[in-house]
Amino acid sequence: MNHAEIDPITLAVLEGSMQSAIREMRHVLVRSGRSPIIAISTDFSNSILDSSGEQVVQGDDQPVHLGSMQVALKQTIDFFGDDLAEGDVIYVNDPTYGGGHQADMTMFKPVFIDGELFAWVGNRAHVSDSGGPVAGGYNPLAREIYAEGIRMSPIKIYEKGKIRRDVVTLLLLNLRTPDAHRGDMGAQMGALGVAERRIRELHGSLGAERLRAGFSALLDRGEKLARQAISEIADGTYRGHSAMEDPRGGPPLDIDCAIAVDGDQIRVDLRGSPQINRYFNSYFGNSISAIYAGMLTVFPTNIPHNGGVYRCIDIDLGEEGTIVNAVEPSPSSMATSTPFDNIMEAVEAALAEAVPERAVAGWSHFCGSTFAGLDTRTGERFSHLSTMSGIGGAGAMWETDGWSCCSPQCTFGGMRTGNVEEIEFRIPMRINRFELAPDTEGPGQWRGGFGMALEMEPLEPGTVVSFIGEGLEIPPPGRFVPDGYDDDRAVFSRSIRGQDGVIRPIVPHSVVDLDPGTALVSTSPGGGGIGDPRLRDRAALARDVDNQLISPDRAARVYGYEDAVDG
Amino acid sequence: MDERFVIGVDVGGTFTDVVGLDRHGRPLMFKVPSRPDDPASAVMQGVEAFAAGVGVPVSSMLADAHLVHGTTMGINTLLTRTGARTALLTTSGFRDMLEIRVGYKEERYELDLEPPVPLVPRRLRIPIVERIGSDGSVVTPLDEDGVLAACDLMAGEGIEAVAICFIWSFLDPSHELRAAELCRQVLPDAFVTTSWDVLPEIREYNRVSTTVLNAYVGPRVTRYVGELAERLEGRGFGGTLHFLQSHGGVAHADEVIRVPVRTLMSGPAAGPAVAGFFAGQAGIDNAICVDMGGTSFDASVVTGGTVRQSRPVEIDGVRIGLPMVDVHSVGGGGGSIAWVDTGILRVGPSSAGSVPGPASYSLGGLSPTVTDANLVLGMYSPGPIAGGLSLDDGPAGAVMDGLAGEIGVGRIEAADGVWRVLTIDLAQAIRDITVDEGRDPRDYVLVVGGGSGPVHCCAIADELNIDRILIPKAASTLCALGAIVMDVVYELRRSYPMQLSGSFDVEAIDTAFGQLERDLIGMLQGEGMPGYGARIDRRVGLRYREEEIHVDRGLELRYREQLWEIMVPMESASIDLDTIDGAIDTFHERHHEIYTYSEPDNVCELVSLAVRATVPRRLPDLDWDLGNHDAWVQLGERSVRHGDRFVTTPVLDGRKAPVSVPVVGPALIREELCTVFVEPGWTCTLGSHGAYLLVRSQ
Repeated sequence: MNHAEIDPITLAVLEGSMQSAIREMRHVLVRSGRSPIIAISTDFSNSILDSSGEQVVQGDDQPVHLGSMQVALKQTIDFFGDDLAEGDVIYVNDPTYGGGHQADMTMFKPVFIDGELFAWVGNRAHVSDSGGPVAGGYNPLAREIYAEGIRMSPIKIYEKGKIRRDVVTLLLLNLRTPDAHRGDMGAQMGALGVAERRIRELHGSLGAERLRAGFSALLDRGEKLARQAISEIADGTYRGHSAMEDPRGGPPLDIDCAIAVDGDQIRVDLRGSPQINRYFNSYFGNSISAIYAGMLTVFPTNIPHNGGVYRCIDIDLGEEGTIVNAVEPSPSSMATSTPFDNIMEAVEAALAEAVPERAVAGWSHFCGSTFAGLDTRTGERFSHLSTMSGIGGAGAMWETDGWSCCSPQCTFGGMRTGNVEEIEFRIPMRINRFELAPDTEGPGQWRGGFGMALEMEPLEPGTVVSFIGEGLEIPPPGRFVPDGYDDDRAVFSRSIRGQDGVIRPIVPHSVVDLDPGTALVSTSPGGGGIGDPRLRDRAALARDVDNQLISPDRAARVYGYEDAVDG
Repeated sequence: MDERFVIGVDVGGTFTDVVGLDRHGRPLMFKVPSRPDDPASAVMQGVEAFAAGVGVPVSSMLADAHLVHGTTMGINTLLTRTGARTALLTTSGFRDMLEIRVGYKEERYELDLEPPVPLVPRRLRIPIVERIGSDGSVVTPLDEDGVLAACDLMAGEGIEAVAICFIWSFLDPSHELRAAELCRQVLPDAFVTTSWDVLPEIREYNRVSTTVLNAYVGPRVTRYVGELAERLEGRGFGGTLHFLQSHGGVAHADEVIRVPVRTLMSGPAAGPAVAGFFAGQAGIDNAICVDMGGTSFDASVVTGGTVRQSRPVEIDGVRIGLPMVDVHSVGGGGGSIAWVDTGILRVGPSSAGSVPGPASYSLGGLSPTVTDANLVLGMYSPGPIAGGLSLDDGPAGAVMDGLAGEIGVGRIEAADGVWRVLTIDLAQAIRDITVDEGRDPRDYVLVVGGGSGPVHCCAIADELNIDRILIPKAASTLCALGAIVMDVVYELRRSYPMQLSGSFDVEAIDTAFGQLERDLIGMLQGEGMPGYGARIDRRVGLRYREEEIHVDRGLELRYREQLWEIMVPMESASIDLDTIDGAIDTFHERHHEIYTYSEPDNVCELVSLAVRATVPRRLPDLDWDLGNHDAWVQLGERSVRHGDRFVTTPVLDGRKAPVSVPVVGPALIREELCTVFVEPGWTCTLGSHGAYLLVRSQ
């Protein structure tokens, strides 16, 4: 049967069932995931894919996982070939097999019906620990991928319905929190079970032919919507660039993107500087997801995240051995934010040329701190990755200012800072200040969101603070801001106020000990603005001045605002 | 039985519904046009209509009446952003809590969504030097001069309401209370509220946002309460005035004046309560309540007699930390428009509303709607319906033909498609509020209200494998009826965060519970809250006898490292290591129910203590005036679509329905304001408690 015969009613029933399955998968992961980052930060994604591995539907979950399961599944199918059977469950995390970083664990299950491989179900979840020398996986000291946690090529943790005790035990032996991890695996598997059951029900009610045709029609529909959007872009080649700070201290590294639009097809050529022996390298799967995430800006909000859309985007990552097409032994634990955000930015810079009316200015990258030590209130050790210390403002679009205090583009604002009181209850630190930092916004006709001012002091001696991330030198770029107006921009600024009251800057990617009486004092950048700041709506400007977010001096100097003194 | 008259009032956008019980327990229902400019006058009109209905002079009826009121004053004030000119005093260093929303953007794929505008602009969020530490100690004393300077600024700005929220204030409210005292001295006309009054619980974002909202809606809501009380007294009122609360109970007007934000979901909160009431009458503990009218489908859940609450919730971009009845609303009603979205048939969320309405209303509607599909499928018959409207199958067929042409099928198949797509969407809305807590919809009865619900309910139940449905005959005034059947409920929660490991301080918990309980009983007995200095209106005072009050205590617990807690009941009145261990055991069990696992060896954390006082509503046996009919009266028959064929279906007269005489589907039961569609495979019986019970027979 040709899928042209799938009518809109059947397709609605099918799509409704698939969306319902994806939502139920989400509920299962939230309900039964053990790592807080799964259950609370919802850092996971679910997907249903056809027998060839093309993604039919993905939940509106993490942008950083967009299209990633399609990429990882292709590797998995290539790896196993015909060696697949009903009841197999496959687990994979390695960046050389389409993974993002080792902490993201991907699980696949082939759905066999009547002895035939009919579809795949899959999900990817960020777990608390992936082994290696540093808990939690981000290791600024790693020089090789081997120092970033356990590496799994596609392995069967279940074979024909029977658990591979040997393999699972080997895996858990390598992790700090085996019980929690076993729980996470159970949650991932439970979610896959829900989706598998739905596919079997649909197979029963629609029949194999119509269900297969329905999958195909959903993919074709995604492709059609994407092609409609692409064909509205003028043919041509558009270029974008993003600079990534070198954690070794050298000059910034380059990420260049060329987007060639030809009718209703797009080709993306992404190139990067040679790979480095620090944790900022992106393997192909992560780079492809970043390109897809950057491309979202040209598509309508409700576009399905499926393989049909990706058919319209040809990707070339250039030769191997670069920061956007890394190979062993490059470390990559930060890759899902740096250079993920930088790659999105390069793609968006090119698209800003192609579709200026949908342009997105740069968002603050992630540049955070981890606090660890002994909590004498409980006698236990603590370790806390502080989102509060790492996020700034979002970029503007035409007709809308950027959001202030918004987690970076790799999460599209979906990561919480937590409450001051919760954090103080959990770890022995006092937060003295967490509020908007005036004059940090990228100026524009629509301005970026504001960055944050933070002050945290340890209550226990010998609190160990490690600093990770990027954004210490290069501010999130504005778009269409005339020369000279976007120069004096805030970047991440981090320092320690000593017991003597003297403020000393922090060496990036370092680890320091802090004692009571000292404090971490930091400011994060705001997002980039869009358009000419001198054209900014005067009432909006007056509000910002009135609200003490933009100083009268800056309002006059950058925005040409004359009434500031009266404001 | 109680000699007092009991009157329920629900003020809606179009109508103010008044339901009263006469001295025989017979509900009398009145609909009067709402007066958005003067809502109290519509209420008075309804009250007068009821007095006339029972044949008693208004003044003697009101002399000792019990009036329960659902109001949309708070929510409308928020939605229209017409609240008071509000300022916020907060701990220095944290003036932007409202604006930074713990850094979260919910609709992350809507890239061009504008940032939300806080209810208080930054200029009026005034930092005050003070600090309580995480152990409750004073790190920095309150800068009283700073508060006085803020008062000067607020006086100059014409501030009408002041919210005060300091970090960790729930461990030591002295700074908040002193600041409030100073504000009241300098700004005697302002509505001053503290987070200690509104939500003394950990998580400053929930607390500050809720306290600000309380200030923002406070002056309008309290003014309305005062006005209504005055009008009632002008007519001789000597009874009690209660308001529906967002948490699903009712509370005295005093409590509304103290924390007006608690009436925010005053209207919808009645839905699940009345569903629970009807389910309870039928001997069923678990109910899913659906209310489906012209534009929206509202679903809520009652499990084991307890209404599902959620918190925190976001309403129109504003975070509210108080527990509220969880009413899940999706676009899906009789007016929902069917359209083709690049190859996929969709129904809603946009709606033709009541003007122009479905095409079949012949009021100029040109879009195919659910009502038009239902007419084509035979569930509705052409001709007059409620509200002076009439259904015409000519335009319905024409718009359905248009849709059919777009889809490439026939008229009937298109209408059938609309029906099926709607059924899947509505079933999903119910799954969303049951499976996320590990509940199985099959364990529930579906309680159905609204004009469109009774026609669609069998299909929705079939989709979810639910095998029992209840449809109250009073479906169109359910909320006003809900006001009558709801219990009086007062609730206080306070955070005492501590790890329940090692030698935790069990006496501190006992003392805290004792304090909380005294405060709660004080509220019920009209003594107000300690430290609370605002106006408590004693003119409409009511006091409960201690033996009427049933007190429950609960602990909100979680595992260490978790960010969400679960409320578990304290089974015993005494607080000691054993009873707390018992609560911890219950927590492990409940955790397993919701999250599929528990960690008996992990450390538990106590987050908040809760006490809830319930004064159960004593109701007479309601007399639904069902008449004395022996058999169903058939009005005619119609050909109605079921599955892939049309079946001959008798049309029965609901107004003359016999009690306890089953009718086997297919059948259409015509009620005054709706049509019940008993699909093949279902059997329907009218119960003496005034509701149809539909049971799946296969």
